[in-house]
Amino acid sequence: MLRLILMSCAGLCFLMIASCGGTRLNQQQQIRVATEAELLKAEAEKNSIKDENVTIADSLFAVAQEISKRSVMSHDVVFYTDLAIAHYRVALARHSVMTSHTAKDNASEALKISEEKVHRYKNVLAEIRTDEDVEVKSKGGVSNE
Amino acid sequence: MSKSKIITILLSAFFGAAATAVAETYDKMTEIQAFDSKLDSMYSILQKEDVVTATQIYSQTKGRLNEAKKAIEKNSLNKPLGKNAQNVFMICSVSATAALLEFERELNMAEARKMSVKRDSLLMELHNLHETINLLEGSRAARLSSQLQATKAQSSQLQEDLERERLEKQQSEAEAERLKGDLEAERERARKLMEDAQKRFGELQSTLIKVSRDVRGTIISMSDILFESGKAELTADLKTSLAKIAGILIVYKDPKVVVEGHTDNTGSKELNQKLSEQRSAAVLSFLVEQGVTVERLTSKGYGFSKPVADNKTSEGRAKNRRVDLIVQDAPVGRK
Repeated sequence: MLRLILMSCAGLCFLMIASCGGTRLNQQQQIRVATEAELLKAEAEKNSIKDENVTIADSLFAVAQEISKRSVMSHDVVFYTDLAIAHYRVALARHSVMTSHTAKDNASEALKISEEKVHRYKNVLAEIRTDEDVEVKSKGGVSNE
Repeated sequence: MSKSKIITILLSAFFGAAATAVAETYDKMTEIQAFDSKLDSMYSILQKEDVVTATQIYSQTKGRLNEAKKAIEKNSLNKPLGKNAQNVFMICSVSATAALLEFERELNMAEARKMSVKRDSLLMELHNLHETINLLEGSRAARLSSQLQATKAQSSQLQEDLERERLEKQQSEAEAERLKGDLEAERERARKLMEDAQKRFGELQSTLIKVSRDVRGTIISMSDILFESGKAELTADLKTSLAKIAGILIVYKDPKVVVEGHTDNTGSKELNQKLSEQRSAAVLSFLVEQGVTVERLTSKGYGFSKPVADNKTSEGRAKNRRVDLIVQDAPVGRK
């Protein structure tokens, strides 16, 4: 009987330790995802992004924070925060894609202008060289080329 | 119509709810595979572009996709997806969308960077072209400049020559003006001299000497009474008159004098010709003796070829028998 009681207590202790470890792991995960979500939210605000994805992300993050206030350990907190992070990422990525399109267009335009300039200057140089040759030949000299 | 819809319709006729669950599972797996292949293809492009951040995004997203696959596979095929599987799939789907967008951004930026590098290279080429053009233009400018210098020197020399010519011309014009003045003065002097001479000659007018003017100049016509009849010797009266004439001619040096002998038509032509020549020569000799320079004098005999009156009358014949001194009007400026 005593052996049975002692074994039961040991089992209970083991479970408590295990659950404490699990709680710590879950709390760390919550802190990590909460921090990530806050940073992404601040980034969206800094860039004045206010699209559908940001709205969804804000709602999800608010729900996660509400749940975490009420309960220390909850897989739902991590889920909602993770989903909020994903939506913030979509919103930020869409914004940066637009910016990158603009950067690409500007680079393309600048490249085109430079190509045209180079082409024009090459023509000018060819003309100058032709004039030089005509001038030198008319004086009975040898051309530079 | 999509494949999944067709399957749903066919299977639901026989399997009802189970068929719906299978279709849902199939749909989600298809979506995951679509994300997977898109992710792989974009990642391989980004690896070639050497985009470092792509690897982290790729592995995280790949992890989520695998997680979702496992969650769905764990679910019984004929049952609807559990809450856990659905949650995992939701996060995976949104994360994969975000990852693909981030890849698209990276691709755009990589392209923009490539274009920027190419542009930098073109700018360098442009700079070199500019330098070459400047060099060529510079050497041409230098050549043109030296040509210009040479032309300027030539022009300066021409200017000097022109100036010298202008001065010479000025001097010539001044000289010409002076000469013109001198000439005018000379003309005036000659005119006055001529007037004086004519006046003096006019004073010789008498019954035996007639002074007149025509186009040839002043005509001093001396009657042959001043000669011995049929002879060429000068009488004293004639000599006196000729001396006065010589005096005038010595003072008024310019006029030239032609001495013409004339006769009437009495006698033979040869005789009259000879007499007229002798008489004109005699007058010329006398004038030379008196100091008139021989170069100014000419004598000529015309016989009876140039009568001035009718030879049928005695008065006429008397007029025809004469010696004329033609004092020519001197051309101005001739010595």
